[in-house]
Amino acid sequence: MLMDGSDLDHDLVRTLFDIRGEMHQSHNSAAGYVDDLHQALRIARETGPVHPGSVGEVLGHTYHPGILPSAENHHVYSAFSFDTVNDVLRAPDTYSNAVYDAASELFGKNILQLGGAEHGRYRALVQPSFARNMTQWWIDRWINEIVDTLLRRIESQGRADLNLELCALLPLLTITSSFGIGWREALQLRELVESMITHAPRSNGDRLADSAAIGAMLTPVIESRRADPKDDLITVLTRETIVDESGERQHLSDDEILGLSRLVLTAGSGTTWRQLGIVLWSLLNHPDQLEAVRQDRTLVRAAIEEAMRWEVTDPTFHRLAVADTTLGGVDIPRGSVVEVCLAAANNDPTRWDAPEKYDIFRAIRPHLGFATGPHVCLGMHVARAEMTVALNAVLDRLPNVRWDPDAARPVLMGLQMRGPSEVPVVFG
Amino acid sequence: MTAEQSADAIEITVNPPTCAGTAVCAFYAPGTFDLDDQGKVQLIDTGGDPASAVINAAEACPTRSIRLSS
Repeated sequence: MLMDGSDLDHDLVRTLFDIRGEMHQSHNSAAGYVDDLHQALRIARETGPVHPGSVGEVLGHTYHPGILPSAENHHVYSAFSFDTVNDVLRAPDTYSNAVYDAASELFGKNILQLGGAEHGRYRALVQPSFARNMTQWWIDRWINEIVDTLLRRIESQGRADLNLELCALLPLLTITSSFGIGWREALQLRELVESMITHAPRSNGDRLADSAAIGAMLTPVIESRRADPKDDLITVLTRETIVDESGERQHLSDDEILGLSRLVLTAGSGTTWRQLGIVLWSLLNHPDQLEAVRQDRTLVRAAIEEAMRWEVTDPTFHRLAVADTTLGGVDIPRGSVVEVCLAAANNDPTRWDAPEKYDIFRAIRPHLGFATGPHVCLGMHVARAEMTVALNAVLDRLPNVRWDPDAARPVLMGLQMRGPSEVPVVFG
Repeated sequence: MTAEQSADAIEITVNPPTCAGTAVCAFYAPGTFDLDDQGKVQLIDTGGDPASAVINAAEACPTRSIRLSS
C-alpha cells in the first residue's frame, strides 16, 4: 500500500474535517457552540445536579438531535455531577443502552446498543484486539508509520494546521488500515459515515443507503480475509466464534462483522481526531506545560489524561431508564431518556481542586472521558496509543512548535462533538 | 489510605467472574493488575505500584471487580 499521502484529496480532507465548514455547521447549532462551556456547566451542576431537559436545553440551546434520542418521544433528564453521572453509567440494569436502538438500525447489530449477557458476549469478541496488551501491535503495524508519513509531509514547511494534517487523518487511517483499506478509500468511508450519522435532516432511507455503501466497501475485504487471512482486524473478526442462544458455537456472520466494523469506524475516526486536537490545543495554550512535556516525556501521559478530563470531545451520552428511579434527588420515571454530561462530571470541584484549570501536574484521578461501566470505550487503549505516539512525534519533529502568530487563536467548538476550530502552528 | 502509603498496606481482592476485561486497572496500576488468558483480572504483584495508583485502578474499574481494604 502506497504510504506517502500523495493520493489524499486535500480538498476532501478539509470538507470532512474542518469543523467550521458547511458539512459540520449546516443545520446543527450545537456544532457552532463557542460559549464558555465550563461556566455553563458549573451553573447547571450547582443548580442541579440533575435537571429536566436535555443538556443542550439546560444550557439554553436547542438543536436537532440527529440519530440521537429525540425529546419528542420521551421525558428527558440531564445529570451534571461526577457522582450522578458515574452512578448512571455503572447501573446498566436501570439505565439501559437500548436508548441507541434506532442508531443500531444504521450500524447493524452492535455493542453500542446491546445489553446484559448478549452485550458481554459480543464485546468479549472484539475486546482482545483493542486490549491494552495489543497497543504495541497497533503502534507497530500502523500508528508509527502513519504518523511518520503525515509529519514527513509537513516538517519542512515550517507551518501547518495540525488539525487537518495530523489529528484528523491519524485515527481514520489507523482504523481503515486495520481493515485493509487504502488511504483514498478511507476518505470515502469517512464521507459515508458523516452522511449516515449527520445531525442535518436526512431520511432514514438515505442513511441506510450510506450504511449499505459502507458495507459494499468492506464486504470484499471480509470475503478476501476468509479465504486468505492477514494480520489485521477483519481477519481477527472472521476467525472469532460466539456461542448463540441455543448453545451453538458460530462464526460471526458478514452482517455481524459489518455491524461491529461500522461502529468501530465511526467511533474510531471521529473521537480521537478531535481529542488529539484538544490535547495539542491545551498544551499550545499553556506554553510552560508544553515545554515541561517536551523536556520530560513521562509527562505525556498526564498531558493526555488531563486534556481528556478538562475538555472531553464527546461531552454527553444517553441512557434509557427501564425502571422508575431517583437520581440526584430527582424522580426519573420509567421510559425517560437520561443524558449524562461527562464534561460536567470531569470538572466537578468535589473531586478535583480548581477543575477548570488545565494542569498536567495535578495528581491523576480517574476521569469519565471514556465513560465507565460495561460500555466503557472499547478503543480507549488504542486511542491513548495514537495520541501518545502523535504527541511525542510532534515534540520530536516540529522543533519549538507554537501557535502561528499570524493566525487567529483557535477556539473549541461544539456541544455534542467538541474540538478545536483549527490547530495552526509554526515550528523551527 | 493516603497516596504516600505503599500499596503493600492495602489488602486487594479481585473478582474475575464479574470482570469485563477492559484492562482499565492495568492502565492505572500496571505493576499490580493484568488480565489472564481468559481476559479476566488477575493480581500480579500486591506491591507493584504506589497506593494512589492501586486506589485509582479500583475506583475506575467499570464493573467494580476490585475491592480494597486496609
